Amino acid sequence: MSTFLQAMTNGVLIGGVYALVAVGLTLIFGVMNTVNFAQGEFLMLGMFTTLMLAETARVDPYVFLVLVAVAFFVFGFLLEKYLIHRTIDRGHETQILLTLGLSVLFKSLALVIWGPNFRSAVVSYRLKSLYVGGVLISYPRLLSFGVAVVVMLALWFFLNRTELGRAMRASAVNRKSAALMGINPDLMYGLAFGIGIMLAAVGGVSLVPFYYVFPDVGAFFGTIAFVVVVLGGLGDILGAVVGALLIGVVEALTAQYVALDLSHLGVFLAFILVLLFRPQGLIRGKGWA
Amino acid sequence: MADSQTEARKRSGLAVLLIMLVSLLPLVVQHGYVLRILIMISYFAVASYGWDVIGGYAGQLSLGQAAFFSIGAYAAASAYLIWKLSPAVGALAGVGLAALLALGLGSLVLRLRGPYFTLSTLAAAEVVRILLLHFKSITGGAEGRVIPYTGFNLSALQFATDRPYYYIAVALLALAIWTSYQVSRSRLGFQLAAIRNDEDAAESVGINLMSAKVKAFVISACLTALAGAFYVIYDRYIDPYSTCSSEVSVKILLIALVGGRRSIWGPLLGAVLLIPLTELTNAYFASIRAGASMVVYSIILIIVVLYAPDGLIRVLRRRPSRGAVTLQPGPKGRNSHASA
Repeated sequence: MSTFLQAMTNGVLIGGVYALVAVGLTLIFGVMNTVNFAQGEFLMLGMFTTLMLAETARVDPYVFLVLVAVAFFVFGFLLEKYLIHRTIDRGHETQILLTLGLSVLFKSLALVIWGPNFRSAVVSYRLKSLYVGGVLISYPRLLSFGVAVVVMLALWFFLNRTELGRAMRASAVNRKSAALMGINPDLMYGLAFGIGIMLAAVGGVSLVPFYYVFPDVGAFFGTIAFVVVVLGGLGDILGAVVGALLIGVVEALTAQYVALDLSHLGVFLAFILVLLFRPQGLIRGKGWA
Repeated sequence: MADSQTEARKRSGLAVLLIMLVSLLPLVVQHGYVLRILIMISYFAVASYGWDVIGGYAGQLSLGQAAFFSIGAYAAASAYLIWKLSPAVGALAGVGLAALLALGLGSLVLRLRGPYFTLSTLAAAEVVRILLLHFKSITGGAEGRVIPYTGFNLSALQFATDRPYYYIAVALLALAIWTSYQVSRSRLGFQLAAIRNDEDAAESVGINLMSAKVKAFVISACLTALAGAFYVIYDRYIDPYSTCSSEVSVKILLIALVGGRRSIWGPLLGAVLLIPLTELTNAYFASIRAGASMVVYSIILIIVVLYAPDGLIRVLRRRPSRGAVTLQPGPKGRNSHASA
């Protein structure tokens, strides 16, 4: 029983990072109708940026959370304005190919700049954990989950309680009608892409204290995010949050009860099953966007 | 009529000239490295012609061709190393397995529209890599397997020089080009063109969408698996990262995209341009870092997607190729053919 609870806990905790990356992906899809294949690479870039800053300044990676978030928001906004925007009306295929190109570009640039080695940050609490009711809760993982919860609440507040957030949701529901109501669609695209990749980068920052940093790390998180987003229904934010926790748990249970190196197999089998039986998504949240 | 006869004569004359040129090439090329690049161009082009059937003709973007490439490669290697069979037998088995996977996966996900097919091909390639890494006793895991060279042996397809490999690769290339040509002018090709333009319209004129798309996916898987099998027979080394990474899928796709999709010569043109470029960047930047060639690749991908989405062959020709039939204002004959 305690191994089961332990696996569940680990699954839910890593699910926080999955939620950040996946919600970013689904937000971009909801507003722009664009599948961002470079989402995982933004997480990777966020990790490397944080690691480099933390190593240079010799302080805790979390110090740079806000700085990295703002920087990636601006990066995303500009990237959308000058590059992604050219493909906005050219169909999924073109958008996928363009973001795929960006994904390979970022990954290989990281390889050229930082090399293929696995790096990790030096933090005092890396191996610390809390012991609650027979379950070990890793401290840095709990911290990362906490960051995810706070960011999700902030996003909920933004989308539901601010004028700009409501405008963005309106664009997600119907681009043309929103434009007729005086909402500038181009601004919404830039904001959505900026926020979307900011979420991935924040996920990256929160991974640095307990995860290895290497150029290929984004590929894994990006693929997980696709699975989560399909599970939750493309464009559905609440669905993505629930899907992320679910995938975290499926992965942890497969690792515990089947085989450690097959943990992602469980995830992809879940993906194929969802495509087979409920391609519109497992969970219909539709509450947020 | 006379025009089409002279045209046909001109074409067959050109073909004979081309065949002579291609078969005499290794006698002229003394440099082993150049021959090696010609071989690489050929088998990557074969994989890419495979991608073009599903990603080009059918218009269903596959990002998982590495799965089929790996299945072909591992089948050929395992047949020889474990069951002591000729790798050629393994290659055929691999082609069969890849076809089965395409049939199964395609039947599940090709009915969905939007980006679902692309995502599921990505997931399929991930699953194949996880399995290759997991079943170490068969695949050798992450370290991979080396096929020892035991001297000239026809059944093991081991030769002392690269020339026999060149002729095999060129034969496979001819098969791939022939397949592309057949698809483009067949009933299936016209059905795929209709589907690409408008799935609802295609269905309303009686095309079985699933049947046509799944057929295209299976043909695509077979060609790509064949290329994978040749790759391991020629290189005598295999590991999950060199055959089943997303880089392999991207490379295969990019070759067709740069050269020109839905074109008899597009993927070959793409391979002729991109493979030597990879070799050059790898050779030139090897002292700096790995990954340089992928930087070049991704920049080319971005530029092509934005500025030449139809590929360079159409930039050169400035006219749409046969396969690029559009059905909207098209001639009546073609419409009725597609719906017949």
